[in-house]
Amino acid sequence: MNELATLTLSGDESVPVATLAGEVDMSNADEIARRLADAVPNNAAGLVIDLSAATYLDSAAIRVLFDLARRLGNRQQRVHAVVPMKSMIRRVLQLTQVDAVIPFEEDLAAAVASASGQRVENSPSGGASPTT
Amino acid sequence: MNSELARLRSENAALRQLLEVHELTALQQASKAEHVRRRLLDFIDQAPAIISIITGPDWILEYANPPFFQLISKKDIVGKPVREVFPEIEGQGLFEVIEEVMTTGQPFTSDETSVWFDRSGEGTMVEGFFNQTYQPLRDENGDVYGILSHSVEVTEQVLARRRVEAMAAELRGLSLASLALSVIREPQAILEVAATQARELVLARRCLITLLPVGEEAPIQVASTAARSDWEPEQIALDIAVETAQRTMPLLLNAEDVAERYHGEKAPRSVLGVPLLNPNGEPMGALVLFDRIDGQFSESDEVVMQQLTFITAASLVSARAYEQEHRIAETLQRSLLPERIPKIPGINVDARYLPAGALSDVGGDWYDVLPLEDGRFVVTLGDVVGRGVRAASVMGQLRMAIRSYAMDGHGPAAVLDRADRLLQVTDPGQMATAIHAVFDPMKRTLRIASAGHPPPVLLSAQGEPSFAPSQPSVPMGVVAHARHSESELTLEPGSTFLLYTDGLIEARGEGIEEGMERLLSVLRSAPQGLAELLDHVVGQLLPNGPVDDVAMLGMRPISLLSEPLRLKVPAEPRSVALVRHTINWCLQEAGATEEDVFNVTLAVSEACANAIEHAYGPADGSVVVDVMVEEDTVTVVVHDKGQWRPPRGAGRGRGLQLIEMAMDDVQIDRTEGGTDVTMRKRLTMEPSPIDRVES
Repeated sequence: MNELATLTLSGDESVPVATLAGEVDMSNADEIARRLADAVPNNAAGLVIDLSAATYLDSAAIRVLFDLARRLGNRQQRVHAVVPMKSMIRRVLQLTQVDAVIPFEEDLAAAVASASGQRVENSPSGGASPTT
Repeated sequence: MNSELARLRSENAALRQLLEVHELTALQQASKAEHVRRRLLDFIDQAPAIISIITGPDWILEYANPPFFQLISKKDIVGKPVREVFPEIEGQGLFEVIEEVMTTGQPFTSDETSVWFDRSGEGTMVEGFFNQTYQPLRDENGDVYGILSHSVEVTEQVLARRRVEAMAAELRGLSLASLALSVIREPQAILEVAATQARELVLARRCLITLLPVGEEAPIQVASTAARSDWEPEQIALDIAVETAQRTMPLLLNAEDVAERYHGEKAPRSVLGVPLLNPNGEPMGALVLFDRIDGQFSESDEVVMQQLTFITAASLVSARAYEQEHRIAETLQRSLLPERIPKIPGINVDARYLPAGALSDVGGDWYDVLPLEDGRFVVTLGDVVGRGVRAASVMGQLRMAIRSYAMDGHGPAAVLDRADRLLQVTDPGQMATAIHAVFDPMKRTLRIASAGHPPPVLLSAQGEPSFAPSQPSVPMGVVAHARHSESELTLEPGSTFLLYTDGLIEARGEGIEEGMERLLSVLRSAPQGLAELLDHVVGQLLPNGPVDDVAMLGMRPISLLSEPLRLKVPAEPRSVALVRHTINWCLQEAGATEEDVFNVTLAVSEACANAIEHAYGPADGSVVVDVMVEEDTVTVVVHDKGQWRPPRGAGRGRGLQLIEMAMDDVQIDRTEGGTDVTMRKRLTMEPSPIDRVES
């Protein structure tokens, strides 16, 4: 009850897909972070995090995304996010330069393709947080 | 007669002898009559009755027999006019009777006639009772020349019977007093009734009852009645009452005793004081009668007053016990009702609780308003059948059970199902009705479940009342595994949803249907404001106050930003979502664009998160958020009582960055009392749905 956000896992072992729906703030960010970390096996190529149903992300959620990108980057794993152009959260993520560490894709198929290494892209250089 | 005889003698010798014989016979007869008269007078003389003969126009007392003389202790009265001999009888109706019999020749009899006369001959009038016969005496022409009066004194019998009657009246009075006192539960009223009854049982000019103080500083309660309605008991009377109470024995003072003790105008002429004793024989107070109307107080008066004080004391003891129980139940019930209704953004909620008169038990009516964590809130209004401490305590348990189930996230019907089962387990045989609903202020939807409760009323924004559609349902505590059902309705802006307990619509001598109709009818003429509306309904339906306890709750969606909105939330992470949702909804209602709504929401949420994360330690606190919309500018101030700290560490500065991105202007004021973050943004407004309805 009163769950602000739901996190659903799908996809396969090489590219798991974590679908985050709802709102993430300081009250549930840690929980989401732990479950995202658990979602990625060591042998996976990368992770797709689908944010198309996420209605609200604040700075606590953004911190989670940066931490996730850094940790997976340390393991040579890619993270791609589905953030549609019309999404309200897109501007927040861009402003805080999340897109510098987690590339945005318009839809899930594109994101899975990118995360599995089937698409050429600029891999982020690690988990360094942008400074404000 | 003799002249005729002489004539006849000369005329008819033959007849002479015959007439001589006749004359002789007449003489003999006369002598015989005299003999009889003597015998009769002897007989009368010795008769136990009081006999007298009055003759002539002057009513000369011709004869009076010895009992007559014994009665009056006067001599030398025979041969004198009765008016002269008994001037004291004048005006008592006896002479009128003699006049009547003399004139009409009709005999007169009367029983138990009261006569005040000078029995002792010393000039003191006393009352006697007589069965009387007045027999006319006629001469040979049939004319009344006198009266033979024959009386038997029945004074003893009459007085004895009067004593018996008085005792019966006392008994009747006492049992009536007892009945009256046994149903009264208010100590002051008991004293008033006892004082009145005391003066009816024993005729006295004044009666005073005082109670000794109970506890440290309780005042002495006083009840008094008097022939003169303006009597204020004097100090001397109060002193006598206290003395009577303290001696724990009756105090009987008649003229001489009073004269010894008291002097002056204020002194009573006679006193009968009787203590009021509790079952342990300890004095509670005293009842005192002053100035018996027809003389002095007697020991039998004392006995009667002791009976009365016995009943009065017993009633007082039970009234005090009752009063105490009533107070406990009332306190309990008051403590179980919300002290004040939480302020909920976007909806006006008001309630009334009207206890029935002070002399009745408290009921088990209740209402409750509880905000949920997600911005919705639940309202409950119910009635535990029964009265007194038990009903009030069951109500308290049921209220908390319903709160708990609602907070656990159960829907209205599920909440009632569970509360019902709990009631059957914890208080078998107890029955309760209730309506429980959850309101979502953002959607303005109300999900309602009822457990055998009178239907709620929906008053449209246009002022047309109707009963809200509801599913038939059974009260709680009646049917094992009952399932309650839900219905949903949308509260339009300006409409009113009204819940009440049956005390509101159960008028004396009227069915519940008529009561429901009357409710609708008074709502049609109800004033605008919600508080005024509730008062109007109460005033119209219960002009003389409620017979039974009444709980009533009204709720009405209002425009969120019609007044500055203030949210006060605990400084806990989960509060951020509540603030965000409220502001989100608030700005949507105000007509802001989706992007503006998102931005302001983000900024407020970040400011709150910062207040919660940085400004407070582990200690509890709260964050206050004020939202104002003026024209097209929204101003949000987030107050906390902690010290704003500059953002620290990697990524920590993002919150402020987001606030600055989202809003036009941000200002942080640090004071000793805490930190205020003031944020402003110009909105691109769209017309508000509420404004559309209200304008």
